[in-house]
Amino acid sequence: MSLDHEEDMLDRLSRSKSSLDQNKPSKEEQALRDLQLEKEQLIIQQNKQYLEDLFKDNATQPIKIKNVQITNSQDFRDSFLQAQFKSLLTTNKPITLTQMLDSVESVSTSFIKLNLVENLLVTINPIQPSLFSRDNGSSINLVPIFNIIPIKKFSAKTGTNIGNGEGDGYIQFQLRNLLGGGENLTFDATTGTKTKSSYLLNYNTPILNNADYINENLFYINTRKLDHLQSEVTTQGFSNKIYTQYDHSKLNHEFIVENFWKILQNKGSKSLTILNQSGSQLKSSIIYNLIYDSRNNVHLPNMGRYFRFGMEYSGLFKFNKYPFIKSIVESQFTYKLPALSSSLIVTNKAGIIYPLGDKSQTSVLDRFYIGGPNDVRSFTLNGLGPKDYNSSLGGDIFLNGGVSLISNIPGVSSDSNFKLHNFINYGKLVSMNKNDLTTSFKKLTNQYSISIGFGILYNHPMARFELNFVLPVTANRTDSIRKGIQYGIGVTFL
Amino acid sequence: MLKLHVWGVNSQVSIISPECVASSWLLINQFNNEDQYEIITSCNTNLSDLHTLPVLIDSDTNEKYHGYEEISTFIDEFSGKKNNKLILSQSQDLSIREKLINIGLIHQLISKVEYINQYNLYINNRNYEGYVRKLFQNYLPFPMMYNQPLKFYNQAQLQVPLIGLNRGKVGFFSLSATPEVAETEYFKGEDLDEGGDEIEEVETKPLSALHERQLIKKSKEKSLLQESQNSLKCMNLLHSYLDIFFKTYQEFNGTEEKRKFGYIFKEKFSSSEVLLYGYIYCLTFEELPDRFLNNYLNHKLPETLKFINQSINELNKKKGNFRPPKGDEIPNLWNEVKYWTRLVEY
Amino acid sequence: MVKVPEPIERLFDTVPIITYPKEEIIDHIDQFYFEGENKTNDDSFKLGVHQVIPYQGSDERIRYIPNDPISLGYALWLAHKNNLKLPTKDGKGQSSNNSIIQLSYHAAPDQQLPILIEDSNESRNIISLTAVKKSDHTNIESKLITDLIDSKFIDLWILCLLNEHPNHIFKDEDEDDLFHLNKYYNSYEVANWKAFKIRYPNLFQISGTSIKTFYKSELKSFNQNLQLLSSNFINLDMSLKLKLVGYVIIFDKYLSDTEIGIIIKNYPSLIKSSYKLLEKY
Repeated sequence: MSLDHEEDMLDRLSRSKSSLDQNKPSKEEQALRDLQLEKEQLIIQQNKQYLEDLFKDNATQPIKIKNVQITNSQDFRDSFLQAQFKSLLTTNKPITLTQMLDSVESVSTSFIKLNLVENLLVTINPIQPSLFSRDNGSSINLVPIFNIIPIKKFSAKTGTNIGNGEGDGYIQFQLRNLLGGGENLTFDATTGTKTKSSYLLNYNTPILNNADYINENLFYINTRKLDHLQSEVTTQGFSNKIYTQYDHSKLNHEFIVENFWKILQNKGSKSLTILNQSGSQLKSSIIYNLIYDSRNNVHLPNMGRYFRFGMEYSGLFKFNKYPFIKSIVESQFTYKLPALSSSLIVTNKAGIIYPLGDKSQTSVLDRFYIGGPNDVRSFTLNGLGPKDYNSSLGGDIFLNGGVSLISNIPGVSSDSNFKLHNFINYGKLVSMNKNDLTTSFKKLTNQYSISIGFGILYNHPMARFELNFVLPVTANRTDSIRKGIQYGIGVTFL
Repeated sequence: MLKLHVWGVNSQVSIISPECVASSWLLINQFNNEDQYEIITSCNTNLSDLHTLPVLIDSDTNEKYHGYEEISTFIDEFSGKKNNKLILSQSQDLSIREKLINIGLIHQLISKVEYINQYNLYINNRNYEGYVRKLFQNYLPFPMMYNQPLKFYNQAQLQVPLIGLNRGKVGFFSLSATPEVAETEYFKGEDLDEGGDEIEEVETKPLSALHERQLIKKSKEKSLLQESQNSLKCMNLLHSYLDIFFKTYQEFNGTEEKRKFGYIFKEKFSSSEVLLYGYIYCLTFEELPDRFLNNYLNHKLPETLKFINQSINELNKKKGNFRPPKGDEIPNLWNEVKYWTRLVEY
Repeated sequence: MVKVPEPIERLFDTVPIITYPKEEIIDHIDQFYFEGENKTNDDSFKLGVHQVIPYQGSDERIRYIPNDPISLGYALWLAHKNNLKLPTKDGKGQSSNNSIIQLSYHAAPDQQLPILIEDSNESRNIISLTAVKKSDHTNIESKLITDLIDSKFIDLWILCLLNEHPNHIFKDEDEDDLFHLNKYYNSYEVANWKAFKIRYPNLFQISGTSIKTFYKSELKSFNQNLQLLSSNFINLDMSLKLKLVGYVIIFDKYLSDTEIGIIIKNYPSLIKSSYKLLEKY
């Protein structure tokens, strides 16, 4: 017993010694290592250069792909793999080297886009033409080999989400690549500051084995607190979505069909509108979004532009209580100002919702809400527009926007994620009288709520954090104003 | 033959159900002949279609009568015109107005005083831990006696707030364990909510182990304070409910003298009075460790309590025809399983 | 407390530099106005009920009345107390600023209707009427009977909704009730009204017949109580009468094919005097 113990002890000592050695190399060793690293880099650099030259010289070199090989492919369906390799295998004629490289590239991105691989490595091996081959030597025969490390099929995780002005905790179960063709099944249970409880089942799959087209089907049950309405809404329903994710084009499309059963429960609002609209409603709508995005960063771009146009038609069936047609336009432009070592972001949004039913009223759940630390700053969340007994009723037409000047902090490296931020925001949200559209639109032309401010922001890969000093310049009497410090976390900002 | 199933053991009807106590009094005092009825201290709620006791089963017609109100009406009709020394016949002796008031009074007892009894038995910690929970060992065989008191306790937790008792969260670890219950009544104008005892408690999170210990200590003190506050409120409530009976007595007997109490209608007990005495009997039961309600009544309304105790003795005088449950009536595990699998239907 | 430096405080006081007038609200809500004199002050009330239905009396006038017994009782009581007449179709009479509005029970803070929305200059108060028990009866007899009706009759109403699922009770129930979603959901919510589930926990423990048995037993006791109340009707307080009228009329007119409707048919004189009383308003 005691002996064992001693042995253990010795064992441990020796192990710790060796690990100590590893951790603390001597000066000479360090120098040697640096040298080695430098050398390696040099070799890589040279190789790259050599390859690039080689490729350039041989860009039109005819190539024949004899076959394609993939390792660790047991998780995939044959038809799925065939579809992925189609671009490499369609023709028996020789292709150019560039064409081949493009094809290999697109196959790899497909796998990566669908989140099917943890790691992917392509090697290309030449093979000798067979003796009886008719073309002799004019083209090279190649076999690309895709070495992949597939993702884990099942995963469960817990964590926290931070969204626009809210935070929550979740538990998630994921079954990925369910049928061997990139099908994913996800179950989410969430509870948080705004979401009282939420259960979400998401099944998504590439359409016809094509990674550019995704079909996503969601089923959810959730209860959310709507502070601006002093109410709670319970939603149950399906959302079916088809969207594109092209890599050759910045332009993408989204087509969504939604069917929801919503119950609005008043928890303390005294507004007659809310009282009147409380209760259950069925909503069925079709939505189309056109998105152009060439920005280099979603949260804090300094290059590129973003444009979105969205249409929603609700009221597919007779039982839809508040039918409407809705349209939103969004744009974001960025300009570099090297003289100021800054960049400028100009964002504008506008939307209109037009009631179609005989009630000539839109649901408070469908209307627009603006204002808040991520929106028109210096106003509280959803703090702009018509109000009744402290409840923000939302509006039918809105226009808002902002100009933000993002500058490097003097004396801090330009790579730093901390930036200085100056902004001016403006917004107007009005309700629409169906019988008097001109007046409604006229209201949109003046009396804007405008705010200015400055602050510091931190751009994290997952979200953007802002701490601003804000002041409202003009406001409507009913707007909920925030003066002084305002804090914002989120993924989209004005 | 009429079979009355009640909570209790041997010939002692349990104080956990004043309706059982009053129903058995009615039965015992209405019938002189002991082979007309039997009272079974079965404690088996499955016998009732509503899963509550008392239940009266008429074995000739196989009809079931649930709860005191139905039982008293049935006994009244069943026993016919026979003149009873103790108890009034509802159908014969009372005018329409008196009948309405009689029903109204019964209703006050069942819908309000019932919750005071629950407070006294379950929420009052001394009574629950010291007496009531142990009672069930006598009532139910192993292993059924573990679950039942807890079930009643949980019910009481939810029901007692209905009359405004025990509203604050008790204890430090009860993270809103009891769901928010809407009071079905307001007590404005009844001088019950004076002193602003509805202070919203702010949940404090412990900062350290020491802080946590302090918080627990504090919360214990607080819950003690709250319990005495609740007891006070409970006495007030009981007084206000008894007041209804006093006022009714005054109305019918033309006396201006406050707090005088006697037979309400004629020189006999009406069914509402029998139930009232059933409740007082349970609330002031002498074996309870904490008899704060008895002390209160003794102190505040000694005359009334004296009359009530006399009445209770009178009702209790006659020995009834009791028997323990037998066969399928026994609330044991086997019968429970048979009931669930529909092998036996009551 | 940290004091805000004066220049900043001054800055905060000056913004916003311009304040525009408030954005008007144009949402329209259907209201059924009580008829009567308009009082000059701003005070008004709105009674929030499930649905409003037309009722044609023997005097050919079409009145709008709430379709549940509790709300009808309150509507009559409010009309009586404020010297008003029930809303009518032609609106010939002068309409007051007090009204009845149709709501989903989800609008009420405790998910129960009726509610009373009281407006008095700029401030608004919403009161749930099922929770309120008026203890303003000095007469002990009236208090006892009020309590009896307020709990026994409401329980019976809830039991009827749970057992017989009468149609056309809730707002928008028929309009969008695809797959009977609302019907199931409503049953679930109705069981919580007046803390019904808490007061009778045993009924919900085991699925099956308990709730039906209880309904039957309550019907029996309803029959007995109605017998007493009907022969004592003329002696009742006005508030009690109106309360009772609410139940009698709804049970007779709109629940006539339920068990309750069958029972109430046995009291023609009570029904007759109820309609007579209704037509006074």
